[in-house]
Amino acid sequence: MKGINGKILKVDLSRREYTVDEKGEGFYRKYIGGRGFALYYMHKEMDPKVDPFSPENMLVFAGSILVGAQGPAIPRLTVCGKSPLTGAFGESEAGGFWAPELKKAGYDAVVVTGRAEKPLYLWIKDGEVEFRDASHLWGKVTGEVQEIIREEHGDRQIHVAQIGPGGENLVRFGNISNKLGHFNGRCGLGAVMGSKNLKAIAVRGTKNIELAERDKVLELNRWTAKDGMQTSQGKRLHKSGTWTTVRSNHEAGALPTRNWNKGQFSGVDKIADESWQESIAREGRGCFACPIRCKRVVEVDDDIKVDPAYGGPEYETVGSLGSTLEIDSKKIIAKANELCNKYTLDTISTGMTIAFAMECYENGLLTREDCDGLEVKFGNGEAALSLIDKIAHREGIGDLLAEGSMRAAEKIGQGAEKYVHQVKGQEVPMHDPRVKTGVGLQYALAGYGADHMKAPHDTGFASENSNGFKTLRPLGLDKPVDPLSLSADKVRLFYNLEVYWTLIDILGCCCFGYVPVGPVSLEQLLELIKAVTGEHISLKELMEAAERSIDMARVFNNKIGLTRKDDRLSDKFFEDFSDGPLTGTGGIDRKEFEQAVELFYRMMNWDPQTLEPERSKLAKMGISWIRED
Amino acid sequence: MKVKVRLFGHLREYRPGNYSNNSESEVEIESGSTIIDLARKLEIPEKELSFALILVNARQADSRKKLSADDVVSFVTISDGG
Repeated sequence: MKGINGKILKVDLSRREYTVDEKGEGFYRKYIGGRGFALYYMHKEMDPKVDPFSPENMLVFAGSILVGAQGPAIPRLTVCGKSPLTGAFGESEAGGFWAPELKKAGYDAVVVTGRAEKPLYLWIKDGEVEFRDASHLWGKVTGEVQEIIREEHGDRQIHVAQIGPGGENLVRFGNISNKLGHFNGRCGLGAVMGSKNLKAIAVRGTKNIELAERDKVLELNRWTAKDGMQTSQGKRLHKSGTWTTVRSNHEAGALPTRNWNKGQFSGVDKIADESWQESIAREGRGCFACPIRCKRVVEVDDDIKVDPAYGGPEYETVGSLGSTLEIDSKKIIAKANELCNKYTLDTISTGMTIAFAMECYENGLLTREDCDGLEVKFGNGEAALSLIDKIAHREGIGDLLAEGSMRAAEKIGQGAEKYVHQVKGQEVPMHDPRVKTGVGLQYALAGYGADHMKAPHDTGFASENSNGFKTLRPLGLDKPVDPLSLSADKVRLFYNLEVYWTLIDILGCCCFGYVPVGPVSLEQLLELIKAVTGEHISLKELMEAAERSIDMARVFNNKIGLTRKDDRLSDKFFEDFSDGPLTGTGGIDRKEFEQAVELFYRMMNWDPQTLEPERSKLAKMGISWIRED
Repeated sequence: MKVKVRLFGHLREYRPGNYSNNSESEVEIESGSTIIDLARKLEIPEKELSFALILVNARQADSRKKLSADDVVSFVTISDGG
C-alpha cells in the first residue's frame, strides 16, 4: 500500500527507550488511522482500568493512511488516551501541520507510555528520535516553547505538539496545541502529557511520501481550490469560518446563554459574524495543503492586546466564553481565547466551568471570599480573564475549577450539580439538542463525553433539498427526517451519519473539507483514497472500519465499567426553553429519548443494559481479540 | 400579506433595500405563498436554499411551507462544527 510508512513509533518515557513497530497492509486497511490505530494499541497493551495520570496510561498521536498526502483537507492529528476528565476512552482531533510532518518524518503514529523522571520533549527528525531535556521549557507558554525549540534546532519548519501550563498543572481539560492555533481540544489529553512530564513532541520530515498517483491527488486538490471554493460551502467557510453559527443558533432561539438558562443573547449583534468581520478579524489561516483556510485570526492592540499568532475564537469559543457567560465584548472573548490557547486549556470546558462558577456565585454557593475577591457574576469579563489565569496555574479558586465543573460541583455540594451541564464529566458544547435531537444522541452516546462533532447535525437532513440529504444519500439515507423527531428513522439517520463522520475522522480528513459541510464529494473521497494508496477500498469496507472503531471504543469503556447510566444527557435538555421564541416549548421527551438511545444500542448489536457488543458483532467486525480476557 | 424577513450568513447579500437596523424587513407577498416563493422574490437562487437553515417563527421549516401573515422568516447558514 502506498501513502504509508508502515512504521509506528513506540516510546517508553520511563526507560527513555523507543522501538519501531512495523505493520503490514492488513493493519492499515483494517484500522485506517486515528482512533482505529490508537484503540488497537490501547486494547493490546494497556489496562483500561489504570488511572489516567499514571505512567501506564497510553497516549497515541495518530495520522492515517491519507494524512501527509497533498490532497484536500486531510491534515488531522488524532490524539487518544484514557481521559482524566471523563475516566473513559478519550479522543480529540486537531487540524494543523503536525500529523503530515510526522508522516514525512517516517512514522504513521506515535504511541507513548511511561513517565519521564524530569520534563522532556521528544525530537523526531527523519526517523531519528531523541529524548531532549525540557526543564528550560517547563512553565512557558506555547508561543515561547515553539520559538525556543525551533531556535535550538535552527529550523523554522519544525512542528511542535505541546502543552502549556494548563497541561503541566494537570487541569483536567488541558489540551494539546500545534502551530499555536490548532488544538486537540477535548478530553483533557494535554493533562495526560503533563502527567508524563512530556512537554512537547517536535517533528521534522524532509522525505516525500510515496503516493500511488500523485498527479491525481494534486488534481483533486486543484479542483477543491478552484471549483470547490466557488461552492456555497467553500465560500462560506473561507469567509466566515464557523462564526455564522452564532446568528444561526440565536435565530433558532437556541444560542447557549447565561449557562444555558437562556436561548437568546441580548448582545448577539456584538459577537455575530458580521461584527467580527468588521472589526478585529484578520486574514484567515488554514491547515496543511488545504485551500479552504477556514481558521479565524484576530488581533487587538489597545488597552487589551491579543496576539494574532494564537489564531482566533471559533464559534464554540464565542459561545462558551461569550454568550454562555453573557460577555458581549469581542476584545474580552478574543483575549480569553488567546489565554486558553497559550496555556492549553480547552475553551469549551473552560467557558462552561466558568459559567458554572458564575451561576454558583449568583446563587450564593460561592462567595467573593471563595473566589479570591473576584465578583464572579455573569457578564464580568475581567473576572473571566482572571479565572482563566487561576485555572491554568491552579491558584486559589482556580485549583477547584481546574477539576472541571462536575468534580467542582461535588466539592461545593449544596445542589451545585444542577448548574453543571455535562456527559461523562465533559462539559457540553454550544449546540442545543432541543432544536436538533440527533445532537442530543451524540452528546449522550459519544464514548468520550459530550461532543458536537460525532455526526453531521439534523438541520441538514430535514428535506429532500437539504444539502446534507442530497450529498450523503449514497450512505443509504432514504428519507429526510424532522430535526425534532426521535423516531426510528431519526436513529437510523443518526447511525449512518455517526459512522460516516467517524470515517472522516479515522481517515484524518477534516469535516469542513468533505460533504455535507465541505465541498469534496463522496465519489471524490473514494478517488482520493485510491490515488493515495493505490488500493480499491470500497465505501462498504470504509464504513465497516469506522463502525469497528466505534465498537472498539465501546469495549474499552465496557472494560472500565461504564454502563448505560453513563450515556445520560443533562437534565437541562429535558426542560422547556424559558426565553425567546421557543418559550414554554422545546424540552425533549425523556421517554422518547431513552427509547431512541436503546434502539441505537440494538442497531449496534450492543446489549441495551451492559452495552457489551454481542460476541457475534465483534466476530463480524473481525475484532474478537479485543474481548479475549 | 406581509411577512418579516431576516437574512444572515451566506444569504445576507440578498437583504432587500428596506432592511432595517434591527436586522429585518417587511416583505409583501401574495397570500398562500411558500418559502420558495418568498426566496424568489428576494432573488435568492434556489440552490443556495440547500445550504440554508430556514426558520419560520424560530422553527425549522421546509421550503415548500406556506407562510401566514406576520410570520418571521429567518434565512441563516447551516453550521455543524467549530
